[in-house]
Amino acid sequence: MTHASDRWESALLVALLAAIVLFTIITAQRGRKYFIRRIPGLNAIDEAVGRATEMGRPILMVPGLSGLGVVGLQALTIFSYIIKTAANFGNRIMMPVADSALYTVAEEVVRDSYAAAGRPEDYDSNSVYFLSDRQFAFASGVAGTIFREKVATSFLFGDFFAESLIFAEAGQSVGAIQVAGTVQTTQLPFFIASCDYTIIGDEYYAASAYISREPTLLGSLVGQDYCKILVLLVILIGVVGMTIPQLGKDWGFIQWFTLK
Amino acid sequence: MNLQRLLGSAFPKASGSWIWISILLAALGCVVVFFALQALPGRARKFLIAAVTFLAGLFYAAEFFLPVDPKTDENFLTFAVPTVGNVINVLAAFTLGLGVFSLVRIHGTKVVKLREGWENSVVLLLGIVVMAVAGLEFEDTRFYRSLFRDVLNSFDAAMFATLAFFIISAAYRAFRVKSAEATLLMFAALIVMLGQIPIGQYLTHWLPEKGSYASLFRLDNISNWLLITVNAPAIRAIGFGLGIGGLAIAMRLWLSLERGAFFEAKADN
Repeated sequence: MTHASDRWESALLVALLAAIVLFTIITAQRGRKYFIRRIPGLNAIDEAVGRATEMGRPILMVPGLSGLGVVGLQALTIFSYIIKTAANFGNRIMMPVADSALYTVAEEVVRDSYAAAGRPEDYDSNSVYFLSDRQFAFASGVAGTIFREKVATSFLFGDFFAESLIFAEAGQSVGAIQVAGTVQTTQLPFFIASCDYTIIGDEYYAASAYISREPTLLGSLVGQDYCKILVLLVILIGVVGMTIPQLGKDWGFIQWFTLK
Repeated sequence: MNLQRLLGSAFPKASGSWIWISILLAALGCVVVFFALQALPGRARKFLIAAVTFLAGLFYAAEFFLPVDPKTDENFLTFAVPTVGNVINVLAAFTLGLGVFSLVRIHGTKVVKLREGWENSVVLLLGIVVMAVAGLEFEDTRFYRSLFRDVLNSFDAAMFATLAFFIISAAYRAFRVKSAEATLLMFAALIVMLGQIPIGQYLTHWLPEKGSYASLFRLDNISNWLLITVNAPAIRAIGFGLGIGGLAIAMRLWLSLERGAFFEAKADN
């Protein structure tokens, strides 16, 4: 079992990073304005939905193999925004899910999004469906849907593994406009090669703040940037310390961060 | 350990027919909780969900941060970690039933109304029934092993194999020289690929492996440099961002600060 006492340095760092995020959230809630840079992949969502409207073909949203966790919930938050936009244009949507726990939440999210868009009567209970929790059974099911329905737009957000390229290439072959984002760095090259827009790294977690512009989320996003600056400083001090012969690897600062 | 004893005496280990009575009582309790939650007004339900989320998160945070006994590597909460994990498994089991129900409902309707592709739905429904019966009743038989190994695994392998063709088409698009970045990408990929394969290594094998400036021009050395010095730090940087982003969103979920469209809609109910 892993505990903080195994390595207090790491535990303290995690606590410090969490405190920074909380601090910026509180300052944002108290009215401080934060700037957020443009993320092309998220700007493309409206364009992609518009294209589906023009073509009269469905929009596909795939949360990958995500379970009911941070990654899956973030995917649903992004999908919720897409569904509201799609509901306004009367687009048909499809959301195959691989995890049964996420499926139950996804069904509610879709229903609530239609209600929030003022179109509860357009909600189709068959638009969200559980396929299989086996990786390649799910992959073949989604690929089959893409080919049969000739989807106009495909949104791939969540946890993806070897099946990522199957989805992306199937979408590419039917001429779908594709926007993808994943936390799995090994799958990013596949998405970059096959999709029109790819959300890289922590942009995935920035999506809900970017879309909603809600102060709490913006504060959290700025807190994340401060944390990254802190990590960058630690790396820089470490590099300088290791470069100076008088300090080297025996220097206390380096020792503090050295895995034993 | 006192907490463990207290809980142990409150919920003694059931045996014999008591196991079934306990399961029945637990199931009844779940039904009562379910209907009680449905009856709650939206605001109260939201508060309850936030409170349970906070307590569950607090349990894992406290278990991680509280000092442990060096001999056992446990603190007074560690004993409960498997039990809390079991609760999550039970909830997941309930949702699996809902998932299968969704599948049967959609494909059952398709078969009954003879919609386009209903034959495929029949095969799917038959597959579910046959695999379930085989798994429950004939687990140690050749029939089950054959279904699993010869049919299911072969289908999986066939699907995985399609990746080989998809990689080629994706690589072709990625390496088309359209811009300065694409050109750079193509050259980097070419060098890395050549550096990994014997014929590529043969092209510069006459250069010294190390110890002189000429060794810097060996394809395998350039390939390693691209992978270790250029690529790995970029991947680690993305990893740092993802780790911090994950921490931030976990904090927001734990403290019920998340305000996506879904959470906002829930709050309004």
